Amino acid sequence: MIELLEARYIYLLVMVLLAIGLYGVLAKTDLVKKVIGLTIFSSAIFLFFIEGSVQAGATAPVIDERGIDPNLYVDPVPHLLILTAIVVGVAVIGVALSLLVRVYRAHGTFDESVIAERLAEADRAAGATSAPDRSPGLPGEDDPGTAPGDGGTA
Amino acid sequence: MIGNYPSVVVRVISTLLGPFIIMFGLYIVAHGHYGPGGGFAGGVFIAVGAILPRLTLPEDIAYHLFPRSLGPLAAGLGMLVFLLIGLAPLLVGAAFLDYAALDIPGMEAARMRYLGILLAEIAIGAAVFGSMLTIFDVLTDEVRR
Amino acid sequence: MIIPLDLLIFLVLIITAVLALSTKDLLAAVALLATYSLFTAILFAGMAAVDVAIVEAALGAGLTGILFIAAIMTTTRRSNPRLEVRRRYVVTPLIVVVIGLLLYASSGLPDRGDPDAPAQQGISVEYLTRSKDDTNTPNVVTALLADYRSMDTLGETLVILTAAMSSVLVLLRRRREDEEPGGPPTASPSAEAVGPDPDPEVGP
Repeated sequence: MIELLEARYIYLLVMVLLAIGLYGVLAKTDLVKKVIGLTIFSSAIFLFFIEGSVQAGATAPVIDERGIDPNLYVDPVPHLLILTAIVVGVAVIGVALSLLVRVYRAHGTFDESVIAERLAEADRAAGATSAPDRSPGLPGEDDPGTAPGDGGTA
Repeated sequence: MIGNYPSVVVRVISTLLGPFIIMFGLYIVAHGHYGPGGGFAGGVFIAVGAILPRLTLPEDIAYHLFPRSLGPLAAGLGMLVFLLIGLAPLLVGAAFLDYAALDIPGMEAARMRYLGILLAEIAIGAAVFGSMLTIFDVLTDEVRR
Repeated sequence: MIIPLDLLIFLVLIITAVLALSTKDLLAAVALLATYSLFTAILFAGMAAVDVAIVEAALGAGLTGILFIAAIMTTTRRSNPRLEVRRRYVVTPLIVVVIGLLLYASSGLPDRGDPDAPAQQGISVEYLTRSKDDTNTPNVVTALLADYRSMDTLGETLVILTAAMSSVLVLLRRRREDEEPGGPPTASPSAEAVGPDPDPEVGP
């Protein structure tokens, strides 16, 4: 039992981190918290990948004076994949944050449920009155003008 | 972004630290062959070194040191250089990005690949630096105005 | 690879992750997220993935935090979400099922550090033996990144460039929409409304 845990404890811990990240993405209503949950989730996946490259008795894949015996160095391919995945993950976070800033400018809040309610209300109002002065394309853009948020930019 | 940070200690420390962060970034880019590092990490270090003055120093100084146009310029140039490195072997009939095929007298194939890696890392570093700086500039644009 | 240290770092990771998701102050959540990334970097270094560790330390612990803080200063620092109990009842069983399936699937994975694992037998042996002679580069990850798999890296760089351009496009379109209908009178109060609001909270 102890040997089994010793060989596999890292899978268990990665699963715990995956669960925390997934909970953040699915259950939190705050959009910034969702992005934080996404970061935690992807970090857990990176850990899992790098765990696959670990080899007993091997060190970092930099060839030194010990020669080029492949058993002395860990597998470099997962390192390359995860290295680029981290950079792309940060670029994705940058895009997500700029979308969030734009959402905040339009609605004055990060709360997902509030935004969804407002969008539904705007849809209903547009459907009931079918006023010609309302632009049909973007119901959310002109919404905070009538319902200002906390510190929002009307 | 915030402009002039009110604390003298923070301003002095960040002014002193900025050049060293950038130098460390350049070292990381250049040292990728022999140790941990390379274009991605080094480009990020340089970007952090360029962002630090924007967070602490007065705006006119910070944006004079690293102008707003630097981000898109570096990103585009980096990408262009990387593409050109890839296209150069096509001229001698080899595959895309096959540095070793370029036949320069006095250079063996391994040496060509070594130099090709170095150039590619520098290009990646410039592209990452420019992209990250651009994202930061765009995100903080509203606060500045 | 030192097991007690690994367990300790994992404990810190779990605590910071839970706290980052539960705290009401977004700036504190970002600080906790940077801590989380830093400890992930230490764990990567412990698994002999030095290149990944340095990238994670620079990007995860450094630049991600800066980007988050920039976005939070432009918007708001407080997070006052509504408690959605109903959603929690749906999400928790779903997560339990997913994690249970993953645990079940992980029983087929090799043990930690097993030299006979399939991942250790494939192409990586070729890369490790040939890299020094082919490219004069002792760091195999760099040789892989910029030579053997440089097409990957080219696409990756293109993705980052596209991300930067799309975030420029996302945020620039709004200003033109602001200025066209309202003109300067509406543009300047909105800038003032944004400016003083986050400053007293975030400033020193």
